[in-house]
Amino acid sequence: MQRQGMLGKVACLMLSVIVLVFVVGAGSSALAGDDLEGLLQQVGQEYAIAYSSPFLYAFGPAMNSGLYHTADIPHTGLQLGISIKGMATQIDDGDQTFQRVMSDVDLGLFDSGFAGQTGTIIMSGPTIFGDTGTDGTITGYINGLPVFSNPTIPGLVDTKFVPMAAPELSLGGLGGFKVTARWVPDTDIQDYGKIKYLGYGIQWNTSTLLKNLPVDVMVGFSKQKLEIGSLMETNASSYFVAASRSFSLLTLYGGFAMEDSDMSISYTFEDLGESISFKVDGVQDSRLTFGATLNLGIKLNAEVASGDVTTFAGGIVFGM
Amino acid sequence: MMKKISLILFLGIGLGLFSGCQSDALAPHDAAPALTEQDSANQAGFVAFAVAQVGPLAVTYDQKSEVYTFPVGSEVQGSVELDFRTGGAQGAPSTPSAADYAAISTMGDDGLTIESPLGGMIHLTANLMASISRGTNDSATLLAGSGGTLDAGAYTASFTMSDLTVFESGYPTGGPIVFDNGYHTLELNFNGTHLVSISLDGDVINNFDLDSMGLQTKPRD
Repeated sequence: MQRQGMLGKVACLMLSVIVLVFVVGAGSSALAGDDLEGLLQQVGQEYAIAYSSPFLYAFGPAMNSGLYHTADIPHTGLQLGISIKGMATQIDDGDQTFQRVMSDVDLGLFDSGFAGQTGTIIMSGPTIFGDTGTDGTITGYINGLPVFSNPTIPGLVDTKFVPMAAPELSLGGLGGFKVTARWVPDTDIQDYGKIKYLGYGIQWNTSTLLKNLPVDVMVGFSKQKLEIGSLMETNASSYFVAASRSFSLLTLYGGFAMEDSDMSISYTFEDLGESISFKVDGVQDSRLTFGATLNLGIKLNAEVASGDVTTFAGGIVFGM
Repeated sequence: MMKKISLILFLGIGLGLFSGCQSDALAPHDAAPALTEQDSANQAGFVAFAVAQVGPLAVTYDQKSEVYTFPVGSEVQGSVELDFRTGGAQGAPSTPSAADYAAISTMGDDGLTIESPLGGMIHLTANLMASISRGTNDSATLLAGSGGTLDAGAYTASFTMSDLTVFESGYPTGGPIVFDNGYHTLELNFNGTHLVSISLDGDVINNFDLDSMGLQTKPRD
């Protein structure tokens, strides 16, 4: 950043904004066609949880990715960094479909023609990341035989990755500290309402405490919150320790993190006109990360993290 | 030297992580609940019902077409393919009225569809081979090797049959139909009435009523 001068900083900032607009714009157009809330409004809570499960459980781990790209934080000289981070949680092949069974339930809750009759409900079909051309079904069974089968909703996006993108600003260089912020201003997205996103974190390089180590060591934490209209709110936090070592233009790093996340969903089930709201915890509570950063003036970064789920992250970093 | 060791260490950790790149399953994949004896008997009863509806075609069918489609509104929907022969299974093709052997096969992946009294759809595929006897009430005995599958939504079953006789008029006799849905193996026997006995391990546990399409008795304790 020092070498780039003021003109370079402005250019980097403009480029970041362009990338941010592209990311948000692409997201909104992709999502506008098939409205998640519109799909969920056609099903009840049990179906919604099972249908959304790969998203509910894996989005938090995606948010907790790409939190650092080196453990080397200067102790003198204030520096600024701007980056665009892309993260994704890889989902298992089987997570594109689901089957949820409810035994000994009043079938009238799912088909009014069977009010008062007890049986088994089997909900099955594509998840949110399953086949977009196939509807799921809710089938009622009495005495081992199907008595009704009602179509439900198709997948929203056919993919094996739960994606996430974020702009990130970092400021550091005093006493080995670095503060980071992820932020998207309140943005109206068609069919979703306002998106609000804010995350922050602090990292500290331990070289004043742990001297003569062959690697840089850093500890830190991060907290993030993303809201999408009245439909969704997700929180993610991570406490991590990381080490890195530079080899000419290449920096290799690795880290361990304890983390948690949750997601709340609220919508109205149109059939019954009832408000539905539920909250689930993310599936992952720890991870091991391995990554590399290539410093060509602009830094290119990629990492993979292994925990209950596998996450990938990459970024373009201008500055520190 | 230290740099080389660090590089090797980092790459080792990285390769280790990459080699284990697989996420835990997140979506529920609940198994369908196990079926009770009564549930299994209920499913098996519909196989008996289908055989009682389809089998008699071996002696009642008199059209030239090799495909018979059950009329709209009947309890069984779909089509079957019929093959009539004289001189047994390896004999020459013949007209239905002159045949002493008939093979009846359901068509398509779904085969025949039966709507249960409560409204659900059950699909059956079957291949029936029958030896025909002519008389005042023509009959056909279903031969060993006859059988098929039942598809009841999340549940599937297979069945075989032998020594089961269907008539031009009246209910079938004999059996058994051996029905296996993975939870229970049941034997079904006809006695010339509208009731089909369903046995598990040699004990009769239910009767299936071909007229009402339902189990008549409660399961054994």
